[in-house]
Amino acid sequence: MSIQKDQLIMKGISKTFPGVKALDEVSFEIISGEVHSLIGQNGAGKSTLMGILNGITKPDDGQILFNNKVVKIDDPKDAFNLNLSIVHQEFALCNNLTVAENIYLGDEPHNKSGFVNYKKMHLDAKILLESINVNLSTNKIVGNLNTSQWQIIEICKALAKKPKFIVMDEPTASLDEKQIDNLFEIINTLKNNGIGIIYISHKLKEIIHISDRITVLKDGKINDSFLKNEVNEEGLIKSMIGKNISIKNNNQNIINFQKPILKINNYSYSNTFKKIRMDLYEGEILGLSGLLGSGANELLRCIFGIIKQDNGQLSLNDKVVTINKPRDAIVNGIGYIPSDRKNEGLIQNNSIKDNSVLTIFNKLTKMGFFKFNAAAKTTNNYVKKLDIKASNIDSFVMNLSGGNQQKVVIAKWLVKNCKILLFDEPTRGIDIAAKTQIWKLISEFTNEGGSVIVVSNEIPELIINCNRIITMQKGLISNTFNHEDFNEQKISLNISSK
Amino acid sequence: MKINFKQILKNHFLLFVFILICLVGTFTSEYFFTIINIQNMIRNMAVPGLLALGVSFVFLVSRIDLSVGSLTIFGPILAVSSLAFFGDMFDFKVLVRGNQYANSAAFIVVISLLTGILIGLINGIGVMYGKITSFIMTLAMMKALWGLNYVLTHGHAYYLQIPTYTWMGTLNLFYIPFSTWIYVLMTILASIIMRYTLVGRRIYSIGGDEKTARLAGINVTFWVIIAFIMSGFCASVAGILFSSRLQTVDAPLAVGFELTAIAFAVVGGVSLTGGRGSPYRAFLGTIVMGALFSLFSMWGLNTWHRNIVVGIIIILVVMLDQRKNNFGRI
Repeated sequence: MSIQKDQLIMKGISKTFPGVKALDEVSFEIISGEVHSLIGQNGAGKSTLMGILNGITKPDDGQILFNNKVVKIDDPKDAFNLNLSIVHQEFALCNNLTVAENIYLGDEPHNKSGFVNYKKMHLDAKILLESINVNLSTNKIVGNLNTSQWQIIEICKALAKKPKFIVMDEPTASLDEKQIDNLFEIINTLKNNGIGIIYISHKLKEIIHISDRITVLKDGKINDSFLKNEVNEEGLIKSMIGKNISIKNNNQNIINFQKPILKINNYSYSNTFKKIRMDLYEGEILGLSGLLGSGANELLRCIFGIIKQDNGQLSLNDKVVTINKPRDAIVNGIGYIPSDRKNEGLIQNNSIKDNSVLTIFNKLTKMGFFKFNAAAKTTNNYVKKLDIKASNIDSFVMNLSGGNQQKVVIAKWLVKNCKILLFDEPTRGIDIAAKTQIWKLISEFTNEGGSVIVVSNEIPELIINCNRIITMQKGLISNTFNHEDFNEQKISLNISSK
Repeated sequence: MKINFKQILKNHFLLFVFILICLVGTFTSEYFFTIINIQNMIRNMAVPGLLALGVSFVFLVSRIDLSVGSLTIFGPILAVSSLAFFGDMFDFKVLVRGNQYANSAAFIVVISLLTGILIGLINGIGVMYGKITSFIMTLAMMKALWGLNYVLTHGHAYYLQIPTYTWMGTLNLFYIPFSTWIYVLMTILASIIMRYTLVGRRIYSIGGDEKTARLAGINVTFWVIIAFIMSGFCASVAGILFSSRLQTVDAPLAVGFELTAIAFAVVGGVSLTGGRGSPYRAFLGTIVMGALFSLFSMWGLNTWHRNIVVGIIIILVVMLDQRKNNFGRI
């Protein structure tokens, strides 16, 4: 069977945003049946390029060719008509609708008079979910599900369009290993069915594993292009950043395991986690690793008082402390850096300055008047210290890249002089350079006497940086590893379900 | 099939509240459970009920419509006053006696409905193309229509002497008032549209997450305008029923109806933030509040006291609503 190969080419695309040349004469092509990866640091122009392909952003210059014919993509509808669908990095789901309704959003099966065929919709959705080995009721309201289920629905949404080309923007960011393997199987099936996939990710291992071609963007230009097996991880990093870099351990603290600074005892919260005992010592980086459903993220939220434990006790420096709400935690010197930094970590349409000093407003106020200069001074200090890249401290945080946004969230707690920081997936969805910097910041914080709990599934990163790693499974602590016993395989085994 | 009573109670809680109110009414007043009171009660539900139904569509797309109160009476006023104006101009002799008018009911109905649709369209265009917040757009529309109502009527009432029109306001079919029939039919129709057709899917998705809907290729602008048009249409139907019942059009009538309608919808469980609620929810809110109003009248509670109670009820209901169903987010 000879399948006619479809071809989508972006040619000489340029785009300038106020002050930044986001894309400079970039050309990119995708052919049916291949996985073409697009990588680059945050701010390299990947999102802009994909935005143009999807009709959200209009290019200043350049053209898009479909099978050598010039096409115009002015809005998402045009992209659909070219059989192009997108798995967005940020979830685009309607919380009030069911799984099936979300999967077929905008394209519901219906009869001539506009009546939706719910039976077919649920059946199709079920088949689609089963085809990627996911067991999920199609009747559930999406708002009540968790992040990994959202990710699955996002992928199904793209698949439901029966596309010729799929853009996957960080599709594995919130999936566990088993689900990632599933996804790769799906990708391979799709490839064999003649679908072209544009794959965007920061996880270089995955990129090398799955790609047929890899294109590296750097500062709005194509820096390199590799074929499969032509390059390894170091090569990609070098091409992305221009120099060799890897995550280094900056944490040289020797921990005195005698007196815990934070101690939780017998913590339980409904079905999520049960009877958790955990200590945190001064200067320590404690890794907490567990898949979704293990309760690790919830435990962190519970310590910060976002959810209230059913029973259990928390003590700081041997004094029992009651934490019912985030305010209690903050007063006791605990800060929380959420994984959903967009909604929970930052006020998007406020400036860097306003976000950074959010926690110390009362300190920066004199007789009811806000001390703008003091706020600016503090913010400038931390912008410099954390190397936040922005035109000035009054620019909105929503215009910053992911890594820089993360730094603003950290700045918010540093200005408050917190003793304990809780990081929820701090390095998810950011590039390696930003990752290195964030780990460096965490280490610096502990070197100055702070203590940190990091919930993450990036086990190699945890191994490099943590003093201890605790693994969680189905709401229970499955194991505790001291630094000398760190072993990637063993740790992975202790977090996976079977 | 297993019947889940807990689920039924949860989903139709207000229905039981309605029955409770009726029972309380029956036991505390000898007049409550009489045909004439029941007829009055359900007839009085029709107008605010239709307005609540209309604003629900707008709520579902995360917007608000404050213009429905003024719009209710604007349609009939525009129809009657244009009849009077052209009557004078072309010597139709529509003027019967003093300020009493008689003419084709069909004309008034058609003009009113068209007016409702047109005002809805203007609201929608203002919000979507003019990028005016719906609150401001419809507030301005409410004020403008209110002013127009006075200008068109020169500040005095028109009494309508049109047999067919009067008939709509007073007729009972199988003991049930014509207005109620219209209201119930429109609610059922709206329920079918919202539950089973693409129109409903579009509107719910926009209320759920507008950006998502846009990315899914849904024409958000179009559907928001449609929601405003549906609201305007419901308001004009309400206006026809209202004026035919009173056999009058007068500028001060229906002032403040928009807030009653919003309250009814909210009590029923239609969320102001969009995406949650349904025509059935607006209906439940209407029958509960309508029954309560009737009960208060039976008890001889005056309007001012009634308003205080209504205010408290609304706050309680919204408070309860906030507690459940926040999708488990902080």
